[in-house]
Amino acid sequence: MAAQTQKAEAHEGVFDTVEHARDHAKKALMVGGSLMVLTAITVAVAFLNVSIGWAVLIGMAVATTKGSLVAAFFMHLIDEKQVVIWSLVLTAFFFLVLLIVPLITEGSMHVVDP
Amino acid sequence: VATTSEATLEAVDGGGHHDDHHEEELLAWTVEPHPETGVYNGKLGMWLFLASEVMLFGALFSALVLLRVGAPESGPAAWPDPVKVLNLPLATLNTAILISSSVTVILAWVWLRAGQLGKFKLYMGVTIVLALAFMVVKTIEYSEKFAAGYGPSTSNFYGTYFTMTGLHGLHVIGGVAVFLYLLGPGSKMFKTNPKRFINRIECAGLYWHFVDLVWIFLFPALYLI
Repeated sequence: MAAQTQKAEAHEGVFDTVEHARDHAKKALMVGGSLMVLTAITVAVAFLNVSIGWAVLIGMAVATTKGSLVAAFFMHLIDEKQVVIWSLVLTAFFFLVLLIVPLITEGSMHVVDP
Repeated sequence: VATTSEATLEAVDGGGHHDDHHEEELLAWTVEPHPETGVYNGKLGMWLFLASEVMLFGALFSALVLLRVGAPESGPAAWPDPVKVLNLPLATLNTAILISSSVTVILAWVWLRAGQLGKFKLYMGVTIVLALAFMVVKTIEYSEKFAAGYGPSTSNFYGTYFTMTGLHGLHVIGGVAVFLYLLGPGSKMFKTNPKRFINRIECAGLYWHFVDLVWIFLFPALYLI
């Protein structure tokens, strides 16, 4: 009993309150629900008779919205420290370079070799 | 010779305190935020690892876009309509499974932060079950394709499909291995150093959400467009 009391004292201030945990859990469930709804929208769009251009645009717009929800709320980027944010901004820049450079190459190939 | 206070702490923490104290001297800022960065070292390390993962999957997404845009309009090398050739219902089911697992891993961390180890174990167990369910569905999907004679060497389309979903699947298996450790032997740390254990769960959760994030983009890119 005495050992348990000492243990509780040793860990005092470490844990969140149950109310705080409930609020956090509720928020996670709401974000999860939103992700499910957005998934249903993504699938529904695939069955609409739209051009490939619109399909890509809508599909990626919904995916980006879903990704932003995961990053902001599940990965806590909404209130993350600057060092993490700037590391990711740098990563995003190089990711875009990785994505765009091959496409420019593909575009110029069509010009040179019609 | 242990002092009286050290001996008491050892009795309270079940003998693990001494090892943790020694380890913390070697690995600094595992619990408290580093004064320069504002985050504990494990978290910064995980984010840098995830940044490298973005580039890994980014290269594959880049290859997918290039092959998709460069594919001819018709003929044997044409890009097929994925809705017609891939199993969309199974992929949608897997999306729902992975999103649910992201929610349960958050719930595990939230309840651990409130000091409730039992609830943590419950939600972490559900997360592992969901991850395994994802792999079962993926195995069914692959089996269908192999039985129909389609493999990674069939075409550019199937090459990118198997490479990207296969690499993602390996990440899911890696996540399950980490979660099993944290649910089993790794959870002993909760008694000796709860804050550090909570941080470990946060880092494992970050990795898992990244795996979910990759699937969120893989799903429309491979199955719908």
